[in-house]
Amino acid sequence: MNNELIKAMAELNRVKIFKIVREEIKKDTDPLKIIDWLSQGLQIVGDFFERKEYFLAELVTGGDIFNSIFQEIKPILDKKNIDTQVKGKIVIGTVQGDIHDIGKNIVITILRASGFDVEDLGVDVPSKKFLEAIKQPKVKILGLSALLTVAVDSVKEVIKLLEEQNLRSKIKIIVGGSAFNENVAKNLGVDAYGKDPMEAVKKCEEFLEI
Amino acid sequence: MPLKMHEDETMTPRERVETALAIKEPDRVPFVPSFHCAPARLTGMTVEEFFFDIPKSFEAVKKVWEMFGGFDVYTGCSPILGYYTPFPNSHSMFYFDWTLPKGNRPEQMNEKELMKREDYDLVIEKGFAPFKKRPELQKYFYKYLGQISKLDTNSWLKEMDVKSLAEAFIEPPVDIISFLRSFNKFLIDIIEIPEKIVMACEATENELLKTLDLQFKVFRRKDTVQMCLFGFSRISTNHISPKKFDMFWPHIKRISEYIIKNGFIVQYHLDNDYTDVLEYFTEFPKGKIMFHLDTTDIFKAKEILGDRACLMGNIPPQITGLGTVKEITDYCKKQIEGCMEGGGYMLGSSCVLPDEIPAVNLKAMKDSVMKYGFYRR
Repeated sequence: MNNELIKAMAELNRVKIFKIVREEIKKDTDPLKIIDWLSQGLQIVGDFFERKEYFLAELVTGGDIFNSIFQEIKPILDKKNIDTQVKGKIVIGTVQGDIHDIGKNIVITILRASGFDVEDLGVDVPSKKFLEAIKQPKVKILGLSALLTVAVDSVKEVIKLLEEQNLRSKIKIIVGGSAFNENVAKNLGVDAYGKDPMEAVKKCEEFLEI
Repeated sequence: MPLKMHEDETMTPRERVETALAIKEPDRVPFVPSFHCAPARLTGMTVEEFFFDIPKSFEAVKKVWEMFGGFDVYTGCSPILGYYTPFPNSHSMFYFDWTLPKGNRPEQMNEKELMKREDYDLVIEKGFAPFKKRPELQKYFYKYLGQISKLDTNSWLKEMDVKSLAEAFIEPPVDIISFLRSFNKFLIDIIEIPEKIVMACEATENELLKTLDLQFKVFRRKDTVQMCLFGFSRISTNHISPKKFDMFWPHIKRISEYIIKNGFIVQYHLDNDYTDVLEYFTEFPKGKIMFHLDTTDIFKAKEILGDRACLMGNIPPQITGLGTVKEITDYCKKQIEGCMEGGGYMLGSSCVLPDEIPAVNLKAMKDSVMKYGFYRR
């Protein structure tokens, strides 16, 4: 256990984290162990966020550091043929009529850093594109993002399409963004509403019974 | 004829709003529907038509006033001029990449990293000027400014004795830096190089104040109190800690004092949640500041600032745009009853009303004011 690395991650000390990770790579440490230590540090960042000791800025920085390190370790993982995105696959996008992607991108960063395999369909995504994407194997969760309340109609359209194709029961749907709250999500008949990135991760883990 | 919306009224809309701004009790709570392009949908136009055809947009606004029997504040017609304004602000297309409305699809910013981390030194040295592009837009600024000047809004408002929500506009330097950097990069900078952001804010403060000088000169009126909208989008406590907010307070304070010194009331238009930093604003004198709140808890704001600042907002689009009449009425009733005492309160939506707000929802908001918002009958 590299407690120094976990602590550096929790403190968002990018320089120190890179230094320690490079030393570990030199020592030929198992890359999965390095990722696990970083994940433990990131979990502390998430805990601080939930306790309102950290804010979105810290959460985004933590996710960014994790992803930067992951890119550094990725060639080693690829060489050893190791798959780290083990928690499950999520398809996510901003629905048609809306091009806002800040919140969606933050959620994707945190989901990936938490071990999910995320396919980002981008913004202004037509309903049919969501439908095609979730037909891929292993996709268990669909994430729909919107900032504009007018785009809520696009969410309804996606759900209608899924129902018509008898696919609704096979997929969990989570919504997020300023267009929604618990009540709107409930009325839409989706499975969850993520009010912030950490809640989104938690609900996705619950879906997959992790 | 001054506008009368209810037989029990004893004040004109202007008197009512000015009384609320002075933290006194008017005859009833003023109702301020902050329209963006909602009058388009309410009158059967597209958002695109409303946006690009200024005279038609003004006619649509007047029609909505007729449909609903009037409101207490005029919040403008087509917002197009803001996108062609050659000053550094987040809506200006001279600085940012906006997609303007098409059909009923509203305008939206394509936020991207226009300023790199290494560009902070450039901002510190030269301000926002190096990021100003597209000089060809200048002619449209004059075109739309000319069209707005011809509307004769003032005569219409004078006849009804109604005032405008805001006549000048500014953002804190940190917001413009955030939009130039793009949000995620900005949030990382806040954690990793906060001192650079503060230096860039200090370096650009005067550049922004100069934009106010021009606005004050053009829009100043002597017959009513006026408001200057000071819009914050990126430094709420959803995004950054109160400790980090503290770093930007000196700039916010200086800009606020400048607005007050020039005879305008500071209208803090706060997107997202600022509940945890409301104490900062107690530094200003009574009646010189007011708040248009988004998700900031208005009841908490009443406790902290109710003795010095008029408050409005905190009715989210999930309620105004997507709620039922009962949900809207319950929400407004609770807010009116919790905030009206002692004056200094107006009922209005968070930020702006959704463009697609159903007419019945807008009516429910106004009806709530008429039913629960009278101080005396």
